[in-house]
Amino acid sequence: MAIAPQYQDTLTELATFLVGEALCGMEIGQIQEINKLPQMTRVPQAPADVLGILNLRGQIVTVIDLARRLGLGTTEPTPQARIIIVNTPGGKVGILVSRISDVVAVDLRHKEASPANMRGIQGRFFSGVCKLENGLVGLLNIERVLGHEEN
Amino acid sequence: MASEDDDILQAFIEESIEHLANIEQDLLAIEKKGTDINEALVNKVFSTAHSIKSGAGFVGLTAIQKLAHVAEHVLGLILARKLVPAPEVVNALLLAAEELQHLLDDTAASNGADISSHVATLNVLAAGVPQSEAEPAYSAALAPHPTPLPHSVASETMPSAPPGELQVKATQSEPEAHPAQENQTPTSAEPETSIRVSVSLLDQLMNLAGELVLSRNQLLQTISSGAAHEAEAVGQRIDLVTSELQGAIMLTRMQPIGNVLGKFPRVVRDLSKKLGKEVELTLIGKEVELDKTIIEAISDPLTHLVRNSVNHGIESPGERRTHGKDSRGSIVLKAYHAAGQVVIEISDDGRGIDGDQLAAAAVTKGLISAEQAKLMSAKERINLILLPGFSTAPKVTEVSGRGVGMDVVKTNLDQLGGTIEIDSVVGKGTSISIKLPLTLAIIPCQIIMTGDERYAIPQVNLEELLRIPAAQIKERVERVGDAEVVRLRGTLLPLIRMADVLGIERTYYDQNRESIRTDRRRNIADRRSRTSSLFTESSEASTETTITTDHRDTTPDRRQSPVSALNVVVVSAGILKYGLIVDSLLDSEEIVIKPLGRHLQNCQGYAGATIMGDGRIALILDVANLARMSGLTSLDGSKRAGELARENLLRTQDLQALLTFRSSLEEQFGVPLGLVERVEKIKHSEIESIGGRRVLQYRGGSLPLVCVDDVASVYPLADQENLLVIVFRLMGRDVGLLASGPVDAIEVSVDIDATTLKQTGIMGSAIINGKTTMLVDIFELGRNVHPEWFAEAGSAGTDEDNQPTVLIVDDSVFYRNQVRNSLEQAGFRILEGVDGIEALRVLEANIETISMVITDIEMPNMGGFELTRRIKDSTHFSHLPVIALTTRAAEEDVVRGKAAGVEEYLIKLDRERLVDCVRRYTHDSGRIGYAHFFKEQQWQ
Repeated sequence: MAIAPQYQDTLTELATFLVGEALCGMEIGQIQEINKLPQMTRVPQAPADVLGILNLRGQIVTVIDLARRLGLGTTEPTPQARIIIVNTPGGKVGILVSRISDVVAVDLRHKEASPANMRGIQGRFFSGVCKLENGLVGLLNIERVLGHEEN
Repeated sequence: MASEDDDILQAFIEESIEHLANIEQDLLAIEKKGTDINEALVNKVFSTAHSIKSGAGFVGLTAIQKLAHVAEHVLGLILARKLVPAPEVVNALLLAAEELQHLLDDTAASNGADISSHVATLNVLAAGVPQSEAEPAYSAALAPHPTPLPHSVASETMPSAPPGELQVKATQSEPEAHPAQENQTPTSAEPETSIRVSVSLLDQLMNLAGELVLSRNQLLQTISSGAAHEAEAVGQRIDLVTSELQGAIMLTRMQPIGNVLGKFPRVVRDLSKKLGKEVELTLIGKEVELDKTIIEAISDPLTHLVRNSVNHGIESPGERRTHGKDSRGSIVLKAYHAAGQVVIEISDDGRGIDGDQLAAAAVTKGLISAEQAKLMSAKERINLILLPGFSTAPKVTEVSGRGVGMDVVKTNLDQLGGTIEIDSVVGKGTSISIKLPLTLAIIPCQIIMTGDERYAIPQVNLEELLRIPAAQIKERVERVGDAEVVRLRGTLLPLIRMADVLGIERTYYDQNRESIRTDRRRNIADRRSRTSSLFTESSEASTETTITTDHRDTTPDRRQSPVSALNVVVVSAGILKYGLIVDSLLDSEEIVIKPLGRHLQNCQGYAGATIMGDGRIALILDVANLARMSGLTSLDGSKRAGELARENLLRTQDLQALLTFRSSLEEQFGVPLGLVERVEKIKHSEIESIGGRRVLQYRGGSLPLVCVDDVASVYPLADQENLLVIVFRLMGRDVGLLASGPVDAIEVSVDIDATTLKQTGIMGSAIINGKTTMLVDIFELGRNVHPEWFAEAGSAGTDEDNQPTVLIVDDSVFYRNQVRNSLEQAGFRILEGVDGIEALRVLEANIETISMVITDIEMPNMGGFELTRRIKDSTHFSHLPVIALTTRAAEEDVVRGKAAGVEEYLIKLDRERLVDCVRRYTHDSGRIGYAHFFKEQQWQ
């Protein structure tokens, strides 16, 4: 989902997290919840980036390894790893990230066009980048990341 | 749109559509009755039209109102017997009803619709009647009734609703509810559907909900007081209430299938009229209930099938007459419950489907190869029609050309979890049977485990569960080509290893260690199993290379340990049936289906997922797709291939069921298992020697005992306390053969050597399990010990020229000689053939003399069944009785044999019954007198 226009002239809260080495961010409103790694059910024959499915209070949610989806290799299931449950038009999807970082407020007017490649992730998966005090955060275009188009 | 409240409008539309659904049937019934007017029925239709009219006026749908009004007027005239409901009148009314339906489908545009032609037609009909009565005033207010009605129309009683039903949704009978404009609901949104529920069911639901609340309170109390034993009782209570509640809620979704079937009389009537055919439609089982969702979803596929039947199935009256059928075709739509499913059958007595033609067309279209077509059974050929891209009609006609092929019907049914099967006989008719689950939401499933994950297999697909003990795997699992198959009651069932299809590591559950272990066997079929002629030289070689040896380092050979038993779930999807090998079989559970996310849409093997009691997820398997993924499809002729393979196997190997035993401890003997009545354990001391004979008190009488060494030169009976008596039936009496253990019943394929060890009482020898085994001729044995038994029969002389001739067909020299000897002794002339083809040649040449045929079943070139069929189909030979000889009479074989025309089924080497049987049949055919059969006595 693109950044909604009404936020563009104010500060927007971004949840930031690490995918591989890259700091990525998502508008906090798109996120339903963040969970520790729960027990998952393997789905044989599923695409390689699908880790499995989990029972989210009676709903079945597919969990995707974001790093793998973005071509960065497998995310290690460390104690810091988290699953972000994202609301998408096609239903809820869980994405596995290696670590959760801060929630930051950014002014999206100062968003810059994404570079062709950010720490190994193709630029097309970002809707732009924002400068923070400690570096750049890439704004994930989660629809494109989770969309059907294969990278 | 105007300012109507959406709720009221929606209620009006739903109610009206419901009314219209019944109106067609009623109109057709009225038409049938003609002048003999059924007032109640006409009244019902009349009040329907009236309800629609007044409702439409209320919500401002003027076009609908007007059309309903003129229809009501015409119906009023019929009711007043001023107008006869002739076909053209009913036709106009039907068209009007149809138009009303269209208008109701899109109420927003209805006011602009052109209904003038319908209005004009109806007005003309009405005008044909003397206008003694003024046309009813046409206004939005309730019109005065031309005739008194049984129902008060103003109260809007549902004429079709049975008493005791409650309208859950508000209808237009609440006129004061005029709405506020700020209702922002977008009109484009799918209107929510409503459903009718009986009051008693609602009451039940209320009760259960109350129970649930009580139980919750109890639970809270128990938790705060910490009384563990009470918690258990509360838990049980909640369990009970929940399942009852679930059941009751499911019931609210159930609707009679008549809601769908009801429209077919009209469909058939219109279509047959258009095509100039006469068709009678019979509806059976309208009251069968199904989930509302399913009812809605099967409407289209059923319509397609019924239209197909009228269009392609039923012939024109002329054509039917030339084929000697009633000019009126018949279509039967029948719904009934069977095994927790609903079955809908659509059968017609039309021209049927030509499977061969279908197969040819499928080959032309490149859907299957010519080889595949050859392998298919008749049923599989007919079911080709379900293949995607297959349209049987040479051209798309106006009637059936709605763009829905049979494959779409199948796809629709697949989505519902239903199956379709087609049976057809050319010239006789077609029967299509659809099986549907009662409900989609909750389905019973078998839970299985593979690779440490649980999976659910819908009960619908489940045929049986099979556990093959390790010791039997070698016997029962074989390789045919690339596939592994298991012997199951005489047929070969293809096997699929679930771990392989899903690409997960093969594991097995070690019960002794309670752990999941990796399975490194590549082939279940043991290469050390007996050599099978199925393996050609080359494939034998290649199988060898793919076999990896067991891991012998940690465990003893697992082949013989109980943990290596195979757990097989026999599943079916349509006509396809196969065995799915899983790690372990768990419980059967009712599960709630949940869809998988879009990222898993490409995973064909699953129909969804479910959440188990412990909160973990189990995937639901789609057995049809699993088969496809593993390359096993019915259309590959898997079943047929299995049959062929079996026939191949048996053709070259005569399997003989033998009972092996010993007499002395050194020598092993065998007798055909089919001749054995019983085996009894006795003590040596129980044997009495009286009058030079040995007998045993047995079942209140004396059982004469014989020993192999009484006649044959073999070692004497072992001198031991524990002995066995093998009981045979000989010349109408029981005879016991003394023997010693161990006994074993085995089914072996052996070459019988009829010369080397042949002597009196021994018909030959064979090597069984590495031991030379002598085959005892129990008949000869008995005759030598007790010749008087055989002398009782008459000894009338025989006219040499009048001996009946019997044709013996068997590929095995040994068996052929056995039969010949027996029959020659009994006074028959014998001709021989080694297979069906030679037998036919011999028959041709000797048709004058041959009085009967005795044939083996499994033979090269032409088997016994085929031979029998040819004999029975031929004009010259069909009078000949045919006796089939087999080494083991399996139930299916007997059925197949009878179907082919076999008179009698006998077990090989049962000499007595064979002679008896031949005697009976040749006697029946009147070629020889009774006494001739005992000619054998003179032989001695």
